[in-house]
Amino acid sequence: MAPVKKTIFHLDDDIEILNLVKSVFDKRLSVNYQGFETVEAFLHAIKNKQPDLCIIDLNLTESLGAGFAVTKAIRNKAEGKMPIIVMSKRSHAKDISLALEFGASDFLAKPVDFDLLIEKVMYLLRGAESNMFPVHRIKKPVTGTLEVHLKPVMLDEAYLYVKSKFFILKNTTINMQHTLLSKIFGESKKEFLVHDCQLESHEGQYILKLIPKNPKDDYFDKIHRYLLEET
Amino acid sequence: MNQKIKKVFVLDDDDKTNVALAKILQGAGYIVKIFNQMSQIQAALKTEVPDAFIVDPHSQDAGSVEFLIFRQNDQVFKKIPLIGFTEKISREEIVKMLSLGVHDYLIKPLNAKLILSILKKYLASDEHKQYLFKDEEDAIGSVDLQFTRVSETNIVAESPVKLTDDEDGLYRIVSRDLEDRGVTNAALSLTKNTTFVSQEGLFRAYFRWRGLNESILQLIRSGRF
Repeated sequence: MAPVKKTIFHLDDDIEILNLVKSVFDKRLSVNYQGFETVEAFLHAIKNKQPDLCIIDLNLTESLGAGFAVTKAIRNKAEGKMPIIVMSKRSHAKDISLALEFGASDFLAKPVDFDLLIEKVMYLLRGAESNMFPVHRIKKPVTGTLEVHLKPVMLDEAYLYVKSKFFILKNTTINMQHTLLSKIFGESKKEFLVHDCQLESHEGQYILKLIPKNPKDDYFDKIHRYLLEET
Repeated sequence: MNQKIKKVFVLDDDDKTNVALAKILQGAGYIVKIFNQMSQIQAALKTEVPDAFIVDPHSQDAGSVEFLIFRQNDQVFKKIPLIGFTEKISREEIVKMLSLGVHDYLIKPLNAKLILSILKKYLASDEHKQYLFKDEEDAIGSVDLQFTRVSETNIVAESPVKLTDDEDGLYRIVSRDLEDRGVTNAALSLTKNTTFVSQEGLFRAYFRWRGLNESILQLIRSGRF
């Protein structure tokens, strides 16, 4: 029996892009590709059949940035199972972060690099089929701590700035460990909260602005002293 | 809380002036600490670092000149702005004050507008003080996550970190709960499709796990994990 072809839905108000992507996919991938010019047609189709992957443009005829709302809507419907690639001329760091926050699995800037698009599509489709065993909900809570590397970049009176390879949500508690903390605060571990997380576009890393979680009275005195000593 | 409230230390033996000064500065949002003796201010400086000093250099009872010399010899405190606040002053005294590291001076009686504008001037430059780290080693940051679903090949976690495919794909996760279930040697690698779960406001990461023994697999198959 021949393997079932994966279905890809693509929403873009530019018919030329849809035709171009279709012709590339027809030549290089064995998938069922369907392009949609309007949000209405796209949502109608997705209501009848959930595809294996979606490609969504951000700026649509309906409104600029309408793709954000569509991404969010279908992510809510499909939970985390279906990969979504957001493809747009809007490649500002904020747009990328927002698209990811709204549930996109990946982002691709226009003009489209078709080799990259094919790679991403294949990569995400493989992930979608990777779990063939029954999945069970874990009833009794299982928690853990994930360790991430953070590079200290700068300190000022208000924030500690660190670089991270990963996007981390605002208000996340990070228990940080570094010799630098011993120098400043006299303790090698300290809890911080993520106040802000911005993509630094030229390195593709994120800059986190950290503030202390439950600071003691002398927190700012110690920072102030360190800044006076070092500057 | 990410805004520091500026702190001003005042050294003067004139209580009337001190009360008025404290009222004005507190009204403008500063934390004010008044000292009548050099020994008191020195004791406070062991644990606190103010943003500015206001000192009457003529206040002999308070030991002001000794304090100016002490501050001048301290690598940290000499960088903190110091404003002289005195009743009368001659040209020679101005020169002496400046040689002792006084940044600026005011003549009594107290002029609220003037003292606040002078403080603002010195503290504004301080707000932009920043230190750039040079090639510091990476820090380790620990972030909590919760495992929600499990299969024989994968375990799904929800975390505030949007994980991406690492060079080796392996992530270090420490979990007492997994250890309690007998999972001690499993390696977790991301299966490359972290997604955002808007309802919970977290990212869902799909890990592939390897190294599970038969009893753990039984536990998963039975839905009792």
